[in-house]
Amino acid sequence: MMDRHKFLHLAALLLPVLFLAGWSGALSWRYYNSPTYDVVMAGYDPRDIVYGKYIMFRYDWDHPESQKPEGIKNLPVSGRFYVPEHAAYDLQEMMRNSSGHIFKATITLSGRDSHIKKVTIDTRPWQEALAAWRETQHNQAQ
Amino acid sequence: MSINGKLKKWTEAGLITASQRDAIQNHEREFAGNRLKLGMASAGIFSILLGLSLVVAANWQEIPNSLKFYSHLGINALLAWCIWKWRDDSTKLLHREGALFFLWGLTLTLIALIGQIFQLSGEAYEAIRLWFWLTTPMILLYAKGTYISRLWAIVFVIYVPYDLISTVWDSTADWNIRKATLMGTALLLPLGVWTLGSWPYFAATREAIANTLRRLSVVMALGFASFSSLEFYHSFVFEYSALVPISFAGLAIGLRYYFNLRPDIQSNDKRTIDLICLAGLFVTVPFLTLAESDLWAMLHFISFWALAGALWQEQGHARAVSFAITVISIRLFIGFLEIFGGLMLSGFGFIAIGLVMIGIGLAARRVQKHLRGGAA
Repeated sequence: MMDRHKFLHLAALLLPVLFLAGWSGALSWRYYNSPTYDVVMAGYDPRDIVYGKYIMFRYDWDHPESQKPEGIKNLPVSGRFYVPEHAAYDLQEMMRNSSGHIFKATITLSGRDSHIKKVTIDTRPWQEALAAWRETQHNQAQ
Repeated sequence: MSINGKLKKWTEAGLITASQRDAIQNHEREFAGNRLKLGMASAGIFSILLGLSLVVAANWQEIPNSLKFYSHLGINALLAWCIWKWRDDSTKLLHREGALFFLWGLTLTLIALIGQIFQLSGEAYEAIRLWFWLTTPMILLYAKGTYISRLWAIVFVIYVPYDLISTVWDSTADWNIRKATLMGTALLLPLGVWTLGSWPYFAATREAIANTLRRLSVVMALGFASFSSLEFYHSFVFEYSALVPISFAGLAIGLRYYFNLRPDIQSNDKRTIDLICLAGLFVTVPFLTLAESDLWAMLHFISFWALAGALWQEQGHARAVSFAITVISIRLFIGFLEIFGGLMLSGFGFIAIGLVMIGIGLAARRVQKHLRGGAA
């Protein structure tokens, strides 16, 4: 049988791996089982929308197309969404000159934190909408 | 001069014999051979790892999240298994330290990956907090070399006081609690770190990290006491009870006497505790004197470092005494600039400053020379 000293050493070594595996499992469970809400996104400062490889934005809970949950007082005010580096700048431009495009995040809530499951632009996945926007920009330039 | 040139010179001077010279040359040749072999192998492994990283980075968006996560978790688990396997094998000491170093760093990258996969909106300091506390037990129990111990100590010094103070600062607007946290951290954190580093079981089994902890406690104490003199004579908030600094000043004095009365602590260690408690006491001084003055700040700084120098003198730490004198000299010069800085605008000002610099330098050297006689 493992003595106490050996057990402590093993526990200290496995703590980071087991904790992160467990945490990731819990996040995964919440990702698939928690209620989701579609919320309209707005850039809160055009200069700071893209911060590294993130789009930084605020939630427009009062927008008619946002699904505002009932009975939750402290809704998250802002969020960040990871995007590939090559898409970040164009998404910033698209959001800055939105010209009628509606950016929407599908999120789950955990206290004051939000976890973004997906982002759509005009009901299309953001990758598709971005590709179409790039094509339009390219055609206009010609 | 090359080693062969030096050996020739020493042989001619009769310092070493010809056979000793030959033995040294043979040893160096053997070592150089191993060094080349090890160096080439290390460069090869590094090149492979770099190549793999570039392939992964170039295709990052195409790799499914689950594959990224499980691969990373698998590497971390493999490293943990290697450390466990090599834990008592003295021939694998370097391997174990290397694996520990990589597991330590890769735990942070795994946290970042989880944040990316699940689009968590947390801040960078929250990820660092989780990483630091998750990995600290592992580092304390497994690190035997000075390299990881010192790296961990640097992270500790930078991160822990900041996190403790900023967490309380953010969670309450009560200045009594805020000041109590500040003074409590300055006194109790170095003392706690010193106690852990001096725990006989820990010191015997984890010598490198125990030594680092004891040094770290002194560095933190010196940092807190110096910082308080530089910061708290300028930005004052008066909305707190005088009982807070009085309590911590009393606690610093009380703890000093408590540790000094304990027969199991050696006299050299008692002086270190004196220094830590002295630093804790000095942190309370700006809040007791309520002074907003550059002169007070300088007096605070100099008197603390002078007392620290006196304690090191008693312990026989000649280099530390010299360091204290140098720090005091620099502070004196800065104090001179603060008070008479306007003189720098004139030619006479430059002359005066030059004379003061020479004077302080000569005085510091004389004091150091005098004290070194007693400290050596």
